Amino acid sequence: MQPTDTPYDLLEQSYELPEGSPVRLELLEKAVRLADSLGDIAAGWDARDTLMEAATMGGYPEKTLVAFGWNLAQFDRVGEQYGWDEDDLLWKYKWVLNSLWNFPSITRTQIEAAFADFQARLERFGYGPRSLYYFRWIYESARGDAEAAEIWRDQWSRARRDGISDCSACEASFVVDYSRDDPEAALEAAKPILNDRLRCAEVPHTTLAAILEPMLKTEQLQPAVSTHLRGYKMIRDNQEFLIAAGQHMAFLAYTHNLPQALELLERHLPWALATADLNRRYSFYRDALVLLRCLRDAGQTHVQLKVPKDFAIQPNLNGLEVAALEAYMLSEATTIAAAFDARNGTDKFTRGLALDEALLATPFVSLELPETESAMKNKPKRKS
Amino acid sequence: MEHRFQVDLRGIIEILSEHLYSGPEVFVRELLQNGVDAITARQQLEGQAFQPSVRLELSTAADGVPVLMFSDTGVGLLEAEVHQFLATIGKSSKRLVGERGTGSSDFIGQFGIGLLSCFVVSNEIVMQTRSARGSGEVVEFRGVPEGSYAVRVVPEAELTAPLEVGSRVTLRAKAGFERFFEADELERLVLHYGALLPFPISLVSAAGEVIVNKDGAVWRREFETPIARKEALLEFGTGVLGREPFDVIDIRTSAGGIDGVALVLPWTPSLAAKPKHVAYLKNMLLDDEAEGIAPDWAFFVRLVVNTNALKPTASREGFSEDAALEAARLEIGAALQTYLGELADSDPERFKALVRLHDLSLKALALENDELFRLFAPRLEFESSSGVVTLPEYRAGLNAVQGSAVYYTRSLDQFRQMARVAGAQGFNILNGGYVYASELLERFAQLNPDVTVERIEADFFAERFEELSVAERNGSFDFLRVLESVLEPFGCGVELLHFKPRELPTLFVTSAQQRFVRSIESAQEVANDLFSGVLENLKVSQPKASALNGQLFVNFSNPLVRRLASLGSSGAVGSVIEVLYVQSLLLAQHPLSSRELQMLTSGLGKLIELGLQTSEVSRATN
Repeated sequence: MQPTDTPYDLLEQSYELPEGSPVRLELLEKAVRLADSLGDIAAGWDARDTLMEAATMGGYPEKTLVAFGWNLAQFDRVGEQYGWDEDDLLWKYKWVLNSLWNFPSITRTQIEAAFADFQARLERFGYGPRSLYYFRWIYESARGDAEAAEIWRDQWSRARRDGISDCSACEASFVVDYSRDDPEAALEAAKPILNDRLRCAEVPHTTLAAILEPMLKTEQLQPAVSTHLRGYKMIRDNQEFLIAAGQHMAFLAYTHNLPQALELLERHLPWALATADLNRRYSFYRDALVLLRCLRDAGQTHVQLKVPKDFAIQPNLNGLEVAALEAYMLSEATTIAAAFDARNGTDKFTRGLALDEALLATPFVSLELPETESAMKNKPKRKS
Repeated sequence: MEHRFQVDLRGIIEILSEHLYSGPEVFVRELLQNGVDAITARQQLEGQAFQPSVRLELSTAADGVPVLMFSDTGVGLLEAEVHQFLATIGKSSKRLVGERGTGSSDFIGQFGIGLLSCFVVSNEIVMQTRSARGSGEVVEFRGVPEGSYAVRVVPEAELTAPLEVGSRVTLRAKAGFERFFEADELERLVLHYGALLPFPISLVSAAGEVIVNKDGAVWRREFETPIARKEALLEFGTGVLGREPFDVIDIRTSAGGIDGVALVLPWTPSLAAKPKHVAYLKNMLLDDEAEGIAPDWAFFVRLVVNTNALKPTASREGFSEDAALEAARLEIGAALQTYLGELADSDPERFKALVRLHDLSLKALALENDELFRLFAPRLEFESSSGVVTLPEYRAGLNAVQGSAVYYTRSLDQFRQMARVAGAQGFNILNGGYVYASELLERFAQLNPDVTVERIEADFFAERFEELSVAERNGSFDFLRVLESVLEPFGCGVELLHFKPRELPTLFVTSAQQRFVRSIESAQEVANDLFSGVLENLKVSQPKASALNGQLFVNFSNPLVRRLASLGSSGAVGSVIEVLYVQSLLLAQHPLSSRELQMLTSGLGKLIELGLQTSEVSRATN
């Protein structure tokens, strides 16, 4: 950054950086601060609009909420006068609706009020209700109210697609998540995504992780291995995909590839500790508990794992104690689950902590793929 | 009763040629494709018992209209096949042999409008064809874009030019499309689509006859010496890139049956742009801006490759994401990694040049692959508070104060703010605020259990600041009270300490958490009730939520601060503190709230006033 840079110079520079990169987010935050210090409302809006994208796609949904609060208010104040596009606002509003429920401190009343406000704006700008039904469906399903979720799903399926509804790839990907208790249905819903007929910025990345468990449940072990190998690379470097990283880790644990699973735990634990999105942290801990249980079953009392310096459990001479790690994660996950359940008025999160004994009985599966033998052969040899 | 749909042929062709394909020139591709498929079909029928070739002949009709005759020595068509394949959109002769039992994957055009694409440049398509399979008579197809065609058997005597087994298409230039009937343009297009085809394509025009593709793929040719081969590859790469590539890497995979080259770009590409590659399918150009063939991290190369087995997408602008593509990508990635590993070992200087050019690509790659991380990591450069260093240089240069730990800041701003303080304390810190820098350092720590790598926040050094002596503390009691009373309304704590460098009067320090809370508060200044409430709940849920927005360290070693302290609570001290506080916020790149902005204005106003008074006083006394 040069001293003479304007907020728009910084915006321009941010486009040159990889999507999801924390450096990009940092630069955009700076653009926001600069715009604010200049009192430049238009630049503040534009910078925040781009920032919300970087924050959402980079794993910082809480920063999206903050920027949105500002943009929404300014839109109502001067949006018309500045000629801002309501589509931009409504599109980000969807991200907000999809994110609010992940913070247990945000009340149901507030979430309901946000839905009502969103609905009023859809009506005012002439859009149909499909996106509203969709996010209500996601919310009720996350909350654990199956009946309400089913009602919104039905409403959604009847409503017309329009410029504000999510892309078909995203919608299909949620159908996969929604059907996870019925593995056959999940696999059926995932078909167009796995065949690559539907894609977008987040699909198939998340689907390739979400589908691993249904694949194991239906004993499709080899397809699961190739899905894991293909999918993990897509999500490995972006904190946004913490839940998916956990799902890959659980897959490795269920198939008894414990050293590989531990590698994922080491790599992604710092994300789980850093995220403000408690649903993501909960989900990752739950998957880590699968791994820790498998380690315990395998008689491993200690593991060699590098953890952040300020992490609650630190290694002793034998390494990191599995039981201590398990106790810590269970207690953290239980606390988060209780907060969610109290807000939601259900017991879904607490129930979700029970491990699936049938899945734990999955046989060992080798990660070597027959098709990639030649690729392995070509791997550079390490010179020492 | 059953009815057939009425289809407007001209409309369909316009739509397809405008939307499915890139432009009028695709008729050349479709003609070539038909020729290739017909030749492949005949080879399967007869083996190698004929000379495969394609010939383009340009002439001018009696009425002055340019004419193109395009002929091949392929399998030819029977009358029934002419009806079935030439006049039906969505099917083509490529299906013919496929249906007879050989895999349909041998034939490329699965979605083409085939020959009918010629209507874009010609108002008439005439094809004469002699099949290798039937009675040997010549069948003629004559179609017009209005949607009708005639088929008849041509007596040998009526043939204007001799026709062996094979097909010949004659086109007359439509007004406005004459340029596609010029020798130069046709040669360019034929070369563009068919440079790799393994049989001669000749072009006959007023200028004589040339074999357009006589050289074939440069990477498949035999050379006298490896050096001659390398030179030819570099020259080829120069033609593709417009500049000589940094290097050329051979690519060959078993998955997808790929052969070709990876051109190492001689410039630094934008990280935001998706890398584009030149892709051939069965030696015919598929797309010269194909994406997704190379691994994501490989944005330092452009591939020029042919595949015999990957499946193109419907739009024919790339390949379907399937297991074969994934496996091919792995192999390509492995080949690039081998190249990098060997270059690093065999020619460190050149590798250094590559790092300089493709720093970020290699950093991304190092994050992707642990073996390469070990290889690259020692050679990658980072910004430190003592200049640009590699990790081994950094670690070798650490002094006893710091020990062996690696310290870095998450952001560029933090780095700028802390580098001075760090240096003065005898520390060397790294800037993790550049793309991938933090990720690399974290990975370095994970792969080297014996190395401590720690991300530090601005308060890291504060723990090392020195307390005031009892006498100093007693003497600055009033001053501290003024400091507290000025800063307290802003949620800013204050500490009076000794630290280096002495030139720095104040240091404002916040944690990421505090900065986030601050951003919430400034959004709440404008947000509506609903979101103000939402943000409030977000704020109170912050784990380490501190009552303070930040901490101001005031440096008692600084001469200005000492002078201020000696003034205690009198006069302008408060105004100076206000200005120092806002200045340290600005140095730390913190946004000013409206109250802080107001304070800056009023503080400066008072100082100006004071300055003027002093001048007036001195003028009065003079």
